[in-house]
Amino acid sequence: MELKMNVNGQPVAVEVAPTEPLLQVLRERLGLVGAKEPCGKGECGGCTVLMNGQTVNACLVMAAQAEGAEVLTVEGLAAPDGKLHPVQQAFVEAGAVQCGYCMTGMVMSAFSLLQQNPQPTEAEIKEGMEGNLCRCTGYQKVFDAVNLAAGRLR
Amino acid sequence: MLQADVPVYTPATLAEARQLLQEPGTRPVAGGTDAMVRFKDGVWRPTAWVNLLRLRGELAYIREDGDWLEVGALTTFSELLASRVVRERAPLLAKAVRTVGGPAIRNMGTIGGNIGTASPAGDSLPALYALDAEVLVNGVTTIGIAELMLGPGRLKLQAGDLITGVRFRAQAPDEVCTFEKLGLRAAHAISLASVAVRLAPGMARVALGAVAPTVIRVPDAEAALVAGHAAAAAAAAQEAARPISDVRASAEYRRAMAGNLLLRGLMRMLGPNLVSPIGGDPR
Repeated sequence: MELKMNVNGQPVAVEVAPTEPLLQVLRERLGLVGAKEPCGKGECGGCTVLMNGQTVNACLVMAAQAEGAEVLTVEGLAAPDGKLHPVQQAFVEAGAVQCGYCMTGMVMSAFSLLQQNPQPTEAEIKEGMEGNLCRCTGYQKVFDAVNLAAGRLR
Repeated sequence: MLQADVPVYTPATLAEARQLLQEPGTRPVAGGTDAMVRFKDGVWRPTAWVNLLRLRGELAYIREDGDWLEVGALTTFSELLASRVVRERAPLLAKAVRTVGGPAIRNMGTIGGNIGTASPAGDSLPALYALDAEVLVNGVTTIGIAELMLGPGRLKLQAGDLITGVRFRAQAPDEVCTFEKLGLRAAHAISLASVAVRLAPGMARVALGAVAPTVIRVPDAEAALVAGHAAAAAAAAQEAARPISDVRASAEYRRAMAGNLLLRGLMRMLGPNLVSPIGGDPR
């Protein structure tokens, strides 16, 4: 089937298998490899993107279910001139990145959390980041990064 | 990896969806948070998927109808959590929904899907059992949730039947309730055991999750609670549990936890004094 979406502000039309995961469409057909496939089962959050303004696990969305959707991936966060989004910049400065495999999912979840709740408490940050696993177990600096970004976006 | 190329139909009306689901081998898919996992694992191998997302206009709603609340099958867990009506009039369901996955799962996962998957570990199900919920089928008939659930993944439905919603009486303002879930970590984990409890003068509901082929109500525990016997209720919960051993926990552990979670819930609702004078460890 031909799948039409809007990805990072650009209309796209791409030939896909209807049951193919959105993640695969993004990575293998559109070359947007920011979202990762650590588990492929909705357990880890490494494939988190925004679909119609909400975070989803792209590995669990059938291509046919993304028809007409607005999709935002980590590639769409930075400004056109390459300047990082404040959430990305905060992750860099807080030293939140270790191996990096979970990072794009973490950043997208943090971006979405701060859109919905610009001044989250520590508990709300932890709740908002639920579903994003870091196997380096480096959560504290991720929470610090979200806090830092919240302060700057305020 | 590419999935087996199965057609996905996206009907625009309930009538059209039911027509498509008459075809043997087809399966409905809503948020896909269970369906895609089972499809990828080869556990579910439908001949075609019937994608329900275009029916959200018809089937995503939270309605008050006098003493009753009705929730459309395609209502997401995020929508339930955001609903003031659900928080105030069905706090037990709100507490259960809060434990489902993380935000990304709750944004896609639906209450109809949780019922349709019919997993004994489905986190909204003990709450629905404790609320004596009725499941709406095809928008017209209702069936009690316990009658609907035959076993893991098995429902008392015919080809072409579609779960369209669920309804239950709003909780009384004077009742207390809790949902206790035990997983391998605090967030985003499948239940090893769970318990939903409601208490009001002369009324008790106890439903256990993940410790039997379906969620189960425990009438003996309910009777014990109405009589004020917490330890007897916990013992009845353990007695009623029929758990399995798997990679996450042994049957013995799950059985013990069924009772302990009930006691923990009672303490959370009523304070430690309800339980401690009667005698701590139910074993």
